[in-house]
Amino acid sequence: MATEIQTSDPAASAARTTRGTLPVPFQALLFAWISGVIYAAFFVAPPVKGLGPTTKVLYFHVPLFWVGAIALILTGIYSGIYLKTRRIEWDTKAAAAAELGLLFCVLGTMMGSMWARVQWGAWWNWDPKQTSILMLILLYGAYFVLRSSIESRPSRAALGAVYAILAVVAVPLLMRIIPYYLKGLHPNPVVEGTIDPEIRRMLMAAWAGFLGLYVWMFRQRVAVGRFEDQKEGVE
Amino acid sequence: MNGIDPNAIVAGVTFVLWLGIFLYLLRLENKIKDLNR
Amino acid sequence: MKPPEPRTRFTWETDVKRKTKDEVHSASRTPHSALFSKTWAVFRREARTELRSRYALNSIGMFALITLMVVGISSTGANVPHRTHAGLLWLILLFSAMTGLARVFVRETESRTQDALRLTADPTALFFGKALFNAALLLGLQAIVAPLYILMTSLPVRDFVLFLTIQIAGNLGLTVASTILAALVAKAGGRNALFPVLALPILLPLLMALVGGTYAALAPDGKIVAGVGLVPNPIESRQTAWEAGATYVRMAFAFIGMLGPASYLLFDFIWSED
Repeated sequence: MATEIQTSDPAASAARTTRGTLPVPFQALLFAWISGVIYAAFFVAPPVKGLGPTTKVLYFHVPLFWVGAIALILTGIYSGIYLKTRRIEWDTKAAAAAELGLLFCVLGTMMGSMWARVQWGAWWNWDPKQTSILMLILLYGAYFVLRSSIESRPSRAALGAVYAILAVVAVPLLMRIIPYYLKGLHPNPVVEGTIDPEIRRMLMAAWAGFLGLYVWMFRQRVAVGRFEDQKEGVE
Repeated sequence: MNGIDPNAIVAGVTFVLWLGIFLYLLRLENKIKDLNR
Repeated sequence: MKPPEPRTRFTWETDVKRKTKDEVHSASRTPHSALFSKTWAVFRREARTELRSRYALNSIGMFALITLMVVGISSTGANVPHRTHAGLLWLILLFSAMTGLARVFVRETESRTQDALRLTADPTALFFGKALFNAALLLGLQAIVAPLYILMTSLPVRDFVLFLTIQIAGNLGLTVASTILAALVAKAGGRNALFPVLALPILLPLLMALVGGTYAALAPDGKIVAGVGLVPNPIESRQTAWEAGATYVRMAFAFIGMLGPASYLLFDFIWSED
């Protein structure tokens, strides 16, 4: 695993010098993949009924949110693992997942807001999906406020973990309610992806690309975090 | 400016943005490799 | 499992070996039969302390009355939509609660009784006793604010059973979320201002359910027919209160059902934290 960092063996440490967080072939693949997604979104994708030329936003806005929401759940999971094992690296992972999740959610919201302005006439509509994403962002924000208010690293990890788990318990509630009661502005069949198989395929491809991007950024963030932890002697 | 497709312009800008992000990540990658010495 | 270390002396050293949950609490875990009486004892202790200092009662009461007055003044004759009334009512209740619900645990941090408490009290009884106290505090708040609000604004409640059900669901939901978060805030330095920041995002889905259910319990005003927040289904005037409100009631109790057990299970992690 690229993120296992030991400090003892000099031979191993020489090998470590060259070890990054993602093998170069994967880096190249990621670059090509997302470039392909961009190209397809702008030049290949068929317009969705009723959305017309703004369709292309779909392929960025939706995957950003999916990854952002998954990141929150990951934060909860890593937090749970931390509480079980008490190994600080899992708290580092939880915080990293939360940071990236927040970033992805905020970017997705910005894109969605621009899309809403063009499509429905207002920057914000209190449509259910918009509202639930706002909740996610508030949860992330509260998580970071909590963490920043605790000095001791182990306490910060444990209490942050408890809050993250509470937040995740609240979030599936949101995610379950929305598909059942959604009748807002958000185009239902497009988001569910059941109408056009080609669109669904493209959406999945975009999603895979953004997931890959997230994974790489996550591993980088964790590597830096763990290095800092080791420097402070916490790990 | 009449003949240039606005779609292509936005696509180009998006691609440049992506390029920028990717290069930034590459730079981070190198920094991390240096950290591990 | 090795037996717990005998607690002959309590020291303030910060590098005390971390005790497992069992070591800290094994001497004070009680069988079920004694749990009720211990919980009640915790509750009575909270009530007694609170009646003596009246801190939470004062802050909650003052806040509630002031906001009630402002809402009352600004809405007479103003033809406020019923959905807005539902929102205002819960705004008053929620923010009044935020001023006082963290008290049950933050008080222990402030008066330094928490270490003694950790050694002697059964954490389960502690959790339920303090939760019970919060629920009682909220009940008092709701019993005063809700009728006053209805009177002040001449709110046409068409279904009191639904209205009360929503109030009960609100009480339970707020209690469940606030007790665990109060413990969290107390352990995180005991700063009261942290409590609303943590509580509000988690309470948002509950709040939507409460506002929606309250809206459904009011006579339709023909003004706004859209639903609330995550449940945008239109509330039509031909629907009965329960037809319109059942969704929201379900949402509220789903919230309680999920957060209740979660907070009970997570409490130990907070309580045994240094």
